[in-house]
Amino acid sequence: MGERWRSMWMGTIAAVVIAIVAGVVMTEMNNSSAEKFSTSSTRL
Amino acid sequence: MHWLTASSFIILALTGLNMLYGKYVLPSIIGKSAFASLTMFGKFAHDWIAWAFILGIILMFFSWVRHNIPNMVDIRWLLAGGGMFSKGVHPPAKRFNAGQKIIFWLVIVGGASLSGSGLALLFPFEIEMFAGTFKVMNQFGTNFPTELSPIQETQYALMWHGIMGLVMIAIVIAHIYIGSVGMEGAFDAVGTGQVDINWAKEHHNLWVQDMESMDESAVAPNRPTD
Repeated sequence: MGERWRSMWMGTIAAVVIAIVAGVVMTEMNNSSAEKFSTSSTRL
Repeated sequence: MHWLTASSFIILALTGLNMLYGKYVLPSIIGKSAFASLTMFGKFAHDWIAWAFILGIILMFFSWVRHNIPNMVDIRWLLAGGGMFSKGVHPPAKRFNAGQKIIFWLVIVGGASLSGSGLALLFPFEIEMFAGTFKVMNQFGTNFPTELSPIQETQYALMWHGIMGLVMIAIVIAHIYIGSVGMEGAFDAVGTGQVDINWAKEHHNLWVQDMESMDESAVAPNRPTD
């Protein structure tokens, strides 16, 4: 039973790890408050 | 690889459905405050797990595309209905039968479409795909607008992303059914990555013949499916 689900857990954990890394990268991309609310910034 | 994509898709589907329809169903069940928190975290999860899904479909494409090119074997498999409508019938198939190939291409094309519109939603003003797509489509006689403002691009991306998301959810529900309870031995194949040789001879006999002709000694009671 464990063998059947092992690859599912490995894939799910890999997805979560990639999501966390992506989240950190995307959050770090955020500008400072001054830049964020400037009219020259197109990020939402 | 399959589970990287599948697990990502399930989380993306649930969080996406919540964004589309959650407000009509959940606040009366879990309360407005809990719904707000759930949706906020759900949106972050949707945006971040999307990258895992994109990576998964890229990996799946390059790993399996050579086994998913349609051929005459697939035509004969489809004409036999995949053996689904006749007892004891197993039309010949290679590593992937025609049904599996249809799912492969639907996931790749549908997933790419979802990924493209999703990236346009993640990076509005910077990634705009509809104007260029409409220019190409207009060469075939359509009359779509080719000058689109950023807000119009985002509106089209939102609409397309929602439509494709619902279509893919329907397709994946059918895929999950066949891959679990609908087809004996299917879940073991994707769960363990291995199948019994007799199961393979019954359902993918041409693949077994290919493997046996490559190396007689490599055939064992359980052969890896990858």
